[in-house]
Amino acid sequence: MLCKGLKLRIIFIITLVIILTAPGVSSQDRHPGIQLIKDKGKLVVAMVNADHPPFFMVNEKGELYGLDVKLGKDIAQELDVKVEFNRKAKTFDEVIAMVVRKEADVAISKLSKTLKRSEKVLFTTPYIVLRRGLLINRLKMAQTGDDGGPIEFITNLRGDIGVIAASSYVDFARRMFPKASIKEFSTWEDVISALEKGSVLAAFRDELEIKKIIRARPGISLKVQTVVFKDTKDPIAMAVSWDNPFLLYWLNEYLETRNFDLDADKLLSEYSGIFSSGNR
Amino acid sequence: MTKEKKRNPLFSWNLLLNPWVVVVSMILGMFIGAYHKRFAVGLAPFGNMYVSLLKMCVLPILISAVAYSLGGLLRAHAAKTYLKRLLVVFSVTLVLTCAFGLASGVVSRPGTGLNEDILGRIINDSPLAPDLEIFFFQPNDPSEQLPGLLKFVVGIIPANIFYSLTNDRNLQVLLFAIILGFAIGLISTKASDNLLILLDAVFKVFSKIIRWIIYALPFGLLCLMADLISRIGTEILLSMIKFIVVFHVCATVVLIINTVIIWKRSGSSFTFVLSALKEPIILAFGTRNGFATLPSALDALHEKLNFDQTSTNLLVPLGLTICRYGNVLYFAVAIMFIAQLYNASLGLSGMTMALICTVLAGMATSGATGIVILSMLAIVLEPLRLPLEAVLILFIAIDPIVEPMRTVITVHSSCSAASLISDRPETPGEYAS
Repeated sequence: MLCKGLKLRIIFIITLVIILTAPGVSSQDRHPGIQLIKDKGKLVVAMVNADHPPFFMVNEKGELYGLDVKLGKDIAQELDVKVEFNRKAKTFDEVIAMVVRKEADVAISKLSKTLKRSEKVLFTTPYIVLRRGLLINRLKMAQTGDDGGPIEFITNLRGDIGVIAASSYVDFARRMFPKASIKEFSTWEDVISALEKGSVLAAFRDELEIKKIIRARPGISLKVQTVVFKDTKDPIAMAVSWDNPFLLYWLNEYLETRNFDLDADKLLSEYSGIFSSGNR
Repeated sequence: MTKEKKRNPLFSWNLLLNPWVVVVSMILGMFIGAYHKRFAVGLAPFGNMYVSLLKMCVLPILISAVAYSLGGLLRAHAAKTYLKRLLVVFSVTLVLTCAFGLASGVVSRPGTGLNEDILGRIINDSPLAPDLEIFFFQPNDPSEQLPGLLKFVVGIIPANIFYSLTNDRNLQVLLFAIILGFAIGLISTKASDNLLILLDAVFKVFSKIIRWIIYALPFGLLCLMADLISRIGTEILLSMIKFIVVFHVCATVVLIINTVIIWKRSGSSFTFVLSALKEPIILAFGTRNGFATLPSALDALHEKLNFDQTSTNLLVPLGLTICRYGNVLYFAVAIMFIAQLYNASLGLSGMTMALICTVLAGMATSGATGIVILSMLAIVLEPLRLPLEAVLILFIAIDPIVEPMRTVITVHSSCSAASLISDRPETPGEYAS
């Protein structure tokens, strides 16, 4: 983290020196990345065109809200400009592409930091780190468990694990649970109902989605056990164009100053309203 | 009890022993617990002090009563007949209690028609049931294992009797007392006489202390009940009401059967039996500690109902320690609750397994306190392949409600078993001077 900050600072200073010494550019109060947004008078935030509560979703009145929306608005307010959410992108990778094409200043869209994406854009420090987790059918666990205890049982999971088809979790599951057989379902709801029926032993996804199920349908706690893997990390961060390290630097300063200190539980408590509609 | 003391014209301390005073103080305590929670919390330490005071006398009484009685029986060569009766009565009554609990569970189906959302919320909100957070790639700290039967058997023998005495390992203490009693009975009369006299004196001294402590019973019960009631959540009470009612109905039936047994064996009238046993029952209900009730139960059987002291002094501690009837009955109903909750049909082999393991699990709870008692359910659930963790939270949440009755059953059934094993009193207690 320190190394990275240092690196960014060096990049920033070098770039600043280049700009300041470049002919025809007058010295400015602000660095150019920020000045660009100031000149436009608005901050364009790219966001996927599908709800991902509690990161971004639309309420009954049609208003967009959620953590990513709150961050976008807050950043714009800090910069003293208007905010515009561009939701044309249909997939997460399209959001990245929009930043690359500079159709948006920043992408705040529950983006997982990956090496592949880092080839195209610059990621800020993560504003929340999600971990991977499992929901395990308690009855099936008792029926198939041996004497090794629950931790032994989970880390050497045998049996069927349900995941969403063609998601990154198919691959994660294969690597983490080589002794288990991976069953793919088209939606998360299908995975959960298979889990409840006992046709799969466990459901595998990120911590947030796992805890969402427990909160939306508390009754399921009798039947399933939640497991979170403390050493699996999925950092969620904002992305900016690779040629705007100024904005990246500013955003990292912003995150450091605000010190949100978020985790899945805090986030779900803050947006507990999303469960009141009842997802049954 | 000396009769002269009762005739104090101005004020009788014995007023404090009046059952109505005791009942009124209990009700007052419940009222405080229900409507003045803060006051109830303030009273809790005094309730705990009262239980500590009773427990203070338990170990000397346990050791002296068991060792003295066993030594005496062996010297009189009467132990053999008792031993046979003891084994038969204890095992038969335990199995019957368990079978009754299981059958009631099958008939009344406490684990059906539950509001799973409320129960789930209680589980989610409990600090005892967080997500299982574990390392996947790095090694985890060794987890706490649920109790197993083997661990229990290995743990019966005390490596250091003083450690057992200071750490409430009552089962180990009991084993030590039995061995001590055996040894006393088998050495020469001359040598053991002094030791027996000493043990008898210890027993009498601590019984006297208990008599004094009983005078503070109304106050102690008031504090205990206030604390207990204040800790009961209405939501969990309502959502588990079926289970709670089924258990209490079963317990009441067992209480009635016990009273009839003691009535028939003692030769006293039914009402006399009821009044003789009211003190141990109230104490058990109020203190929720079977051992704290031991002196009072011994007193009721010998002093009031006139059963032979040597045998009751041995049998009641044995029953209280090894045969936890209350826990066996509770576990039996709980097993059926869990099986129904998870829609698991046990079948004949499963029920047989449940019967055997529940009795063993009930015995394994001897010496355990609090949550550990409930976690002994694992002994039954593991062979039945049923999960415990989620339901355990619910059982812990309702424990303040059911624990009093569980203790009453353990104490009362131990008395009833003791009355079956020991000889009928020559003169019924009612007519003895």
